[in-house]
Amino acid sequence: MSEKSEISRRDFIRNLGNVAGGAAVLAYAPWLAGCTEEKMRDITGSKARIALVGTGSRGQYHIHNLLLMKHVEIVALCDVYEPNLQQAAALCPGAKLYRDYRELLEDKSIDGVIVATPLHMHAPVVLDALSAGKNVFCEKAMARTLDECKAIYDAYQQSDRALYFCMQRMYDEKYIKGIEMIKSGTIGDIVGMRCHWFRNADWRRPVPSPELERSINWRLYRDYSGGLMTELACHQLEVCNLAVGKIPETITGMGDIVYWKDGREVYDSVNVIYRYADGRKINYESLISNKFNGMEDQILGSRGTMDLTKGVYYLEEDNSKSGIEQLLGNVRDKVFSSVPLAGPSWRPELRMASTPHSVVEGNVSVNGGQSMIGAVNDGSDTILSAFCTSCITGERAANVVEEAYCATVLCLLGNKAMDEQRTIRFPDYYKIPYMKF
Amino acid sequence: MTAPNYEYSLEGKIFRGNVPLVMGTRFDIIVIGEDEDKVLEFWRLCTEILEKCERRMNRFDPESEVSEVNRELSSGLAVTLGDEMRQAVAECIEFRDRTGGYFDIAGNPDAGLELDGNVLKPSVQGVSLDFGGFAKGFALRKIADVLKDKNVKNAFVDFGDSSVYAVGAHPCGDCWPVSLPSPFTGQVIADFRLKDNALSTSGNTPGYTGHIIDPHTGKACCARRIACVISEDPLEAEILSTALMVADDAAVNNIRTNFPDTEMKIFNLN
Repeated sequence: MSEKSEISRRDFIRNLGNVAGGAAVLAYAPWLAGCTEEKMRDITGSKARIALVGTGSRGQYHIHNLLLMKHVEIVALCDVYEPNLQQAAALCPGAKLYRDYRELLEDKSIDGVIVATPLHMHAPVVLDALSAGKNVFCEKAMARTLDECKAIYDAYQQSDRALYFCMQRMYDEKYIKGIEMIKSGTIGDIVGMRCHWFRNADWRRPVPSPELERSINWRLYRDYSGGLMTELACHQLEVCNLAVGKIPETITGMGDIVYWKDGREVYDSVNVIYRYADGRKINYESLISNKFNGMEDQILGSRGTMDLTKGVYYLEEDNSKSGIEQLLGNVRDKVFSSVPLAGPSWRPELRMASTPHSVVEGNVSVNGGQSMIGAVNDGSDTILSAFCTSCITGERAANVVEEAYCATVLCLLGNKAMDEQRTIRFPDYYKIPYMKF
Repeated sequence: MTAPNYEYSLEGKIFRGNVPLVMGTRFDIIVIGEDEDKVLEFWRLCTEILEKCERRMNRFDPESEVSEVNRELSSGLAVTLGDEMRQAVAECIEFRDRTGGYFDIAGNPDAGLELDGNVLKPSVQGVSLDFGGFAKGFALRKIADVLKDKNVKNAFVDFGDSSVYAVGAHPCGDCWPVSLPSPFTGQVIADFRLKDNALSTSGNTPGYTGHIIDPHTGKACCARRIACVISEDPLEAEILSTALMVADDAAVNNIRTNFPDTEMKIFNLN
């Protein structure tokens, strides 16, 4: 993370009162209570003693963020892969190094554990860390299987520790404001959702020795990963659920290995439909052999469309771009074509709605969806900071675990629907009181 | 005038500036291929021009310079104008004469506005100035001057669609191509290839009609007509497109004769 993005995080905290309309934001997004300026003042001078389990690319991304936070001290690092551990150690010279996370958990002085392992290790590490009395921050998705998710959720209910999953969109200003605007009726009634994530990359990492293939390229193998659904869709489904305030009831889809036929086991092309009880649907698509469409989280309303990824919305009465927007798009896309721009004077009362409207003022960081590690200012640093604050205050963040559980279970049910080639209903066993259908 | 905003993309050096509401409409500009420092300095000057023109020429703002002038003119009194206002009024009087009175900021052939140095004298009481059909062109001309002064190579200015000004060309072509859709059907009725010139369009629309007054009759023009003028001078284009909306056939010919190098198109829509 650059210094600039650290300033952005501070600005976010400072401006939190203005995000989504002042104090109302905490009523609507109570998980942000740990991010207020007052909270940061309360913990001035205190430091959370943090350990990382998993020091690969995402773990090191978190380390870079943590090193810029004043309320954090990185005291321990653990990884089974020595090169990653040594790279992380170089970033944190004072940290104690472990190869077995269970030994790390025995250190009573550690306040919080950040889990950035492959997905199949999330449940064992999170459950053991909670049992050891640690506060825990874990990468998304929550876990590899439905039963592991349930076990983590149940353990959290029994625990008094803070538990976070990196659902960074919950801490991203443009998403917070955008969802608040949806709830206030800006785009009318929600009638559907379209989410997609396109990349053109094989998702592979170089492997120094063949026996390391599965542990390094874990995303490609089913014992380790849920593929596109757990790695990408998880964030997007969570946003849809936040917008609608409900959970889909039935799921159907098709998944295939279309292009990257390199021995991988997970789909490289997925199309999944999630249907809510009232008929509204999430249309989810992800493909990693064409990047043209990038990543978008679109909430479709009867009066407009909110594109949360870009932090803009469009109103239905203006279903065409203004001429200047078309011209700008043509210039950017290198299209030389006449723009229907000339005409009698544009008057605001006739066409005020004709341009994309920004959800938040100022520069907006837009994640194009191509990075495998993380995007600047996508909320990851803010939620990480909130976790470290929780390690000091002992306060838990509202709804984060519940949202992560809902999104992950939906991802896994999407995989199940594709694998079994049928429409499945949300199983009663995995329902939790937080869910509304 | 609402707060200006802009974005600058290093990729392709694309600058886009926008003022959501100024002079009753929207202002947009795209500048291509210029360094950020240079284009930001231009944008500062540009928004300054817009702000000053609006403050000076908005007759609905009681604090504006034109409102002050109108208060005195309406009593039949001579008014001493500031230099900028004098320059604007002088242009208006010249265009009034060259358009046979079909462009008239007094909207009254009996007003008999004359300038003596900086002093503006009306012939009768009850005269007031209306810079509609002038102010945008006036501001756009000043902005065009700054673009030239800053040696900007490729830019496109859209002042509420009715007044556009093109410098150089689209990065993938040899001009800035724009088309004119009918406000009644949406079908394109003309294409223009702009390069270092301005296009001004006047007309009625289904939702906004009768806003141009024939100075000779005092009646609103409600014809389904669109008048387009292309000129190197944005102010000339603005004024002539307004005049052509209300000019009869003889007057149109007279205007064409008086402005032989200016391209004019009139579309009478059914």
